[in-house]
Amino acid sequence: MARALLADCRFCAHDCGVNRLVGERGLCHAGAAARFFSAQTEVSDELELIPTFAVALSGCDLRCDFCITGASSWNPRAGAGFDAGAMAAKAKAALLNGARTIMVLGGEPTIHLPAALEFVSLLPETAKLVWKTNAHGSAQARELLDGMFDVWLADFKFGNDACARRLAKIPDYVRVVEENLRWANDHSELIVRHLLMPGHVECCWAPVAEWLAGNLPGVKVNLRPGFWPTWHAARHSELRQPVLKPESERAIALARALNLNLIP
Amino acid sequence: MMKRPTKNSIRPAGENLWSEFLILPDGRILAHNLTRPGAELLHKLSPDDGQIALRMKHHASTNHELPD
Repeated sequence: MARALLADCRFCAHDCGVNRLVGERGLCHAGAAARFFSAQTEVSDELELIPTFAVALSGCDLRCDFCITGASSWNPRAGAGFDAGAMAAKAKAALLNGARTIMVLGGEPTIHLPAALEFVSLLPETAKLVWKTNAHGSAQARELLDGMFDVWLADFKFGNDACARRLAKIPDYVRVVEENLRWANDHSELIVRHLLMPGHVECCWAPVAEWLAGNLPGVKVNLRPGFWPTWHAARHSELRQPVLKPESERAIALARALNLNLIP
Repeated sequence: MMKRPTKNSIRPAGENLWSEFLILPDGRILAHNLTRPGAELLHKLSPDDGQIALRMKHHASTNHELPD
């Protein structure tokens, strides 16, 4: 069913409505077939999720200039063809070797929803599944995802639409993300991630933190200070450096003042 | 002239493990896609680093539990 929806693709909030089955391309440029650029067991995510067997699908609907996997995330033709059955076999082996969770990410996995759903349908029911997303999906995507993943690991990158438009060329960002986070909190376990960006503590982190405190009190929040100035980050003067200690200390103090549930 | 390899082209196609590290001028090391071998390397470089030790510990102590 999900694959048929590629004929009128509205998986993300761009709502392009293109027919990917006949070669039309929306803003993400993805075709009908999914590709992946990484699949391995990793230990760099939240402590409660690691080790995780992380499958990164190529392509994304955002265009974050600071994307740490920009070459693969902006290009849905990067990497190798995704075979759900073969990948499920690898994931099962990873579970037997001690992986605690299976994580589907990108790029942005929402644009490859049919492949992602086929993949997880082949995994054991006992497997703990994590949907790592930019939280820019549509209501249609959420409906398809309902009950499929145990944990939504969702980014809240920008605290205002101006920064979202300037750094990721994305309109109406805050409304869409807040809608997705509310839904995810109601339908699964939710962990919200915020990548702290240099020069964006007050304009981005502060409003995100305040919204989380006011609307999703107690939700798990991972504030990540390890900004990596890569890809096209140098297009923006403030993003040509890592986050310095005073900024990360200010961000953590803000989180504590708001009583956010920070997790490592 | 030889084409300069891009970050994307030098990555393995999915069969090999890979982690990326960025060493900052102040000595901090940022890690991306950290694997167990990558974590072991960082742990050797900085055995007192609590964050890496935690990640090593979690990895070593975790097993996938099958249903009863």
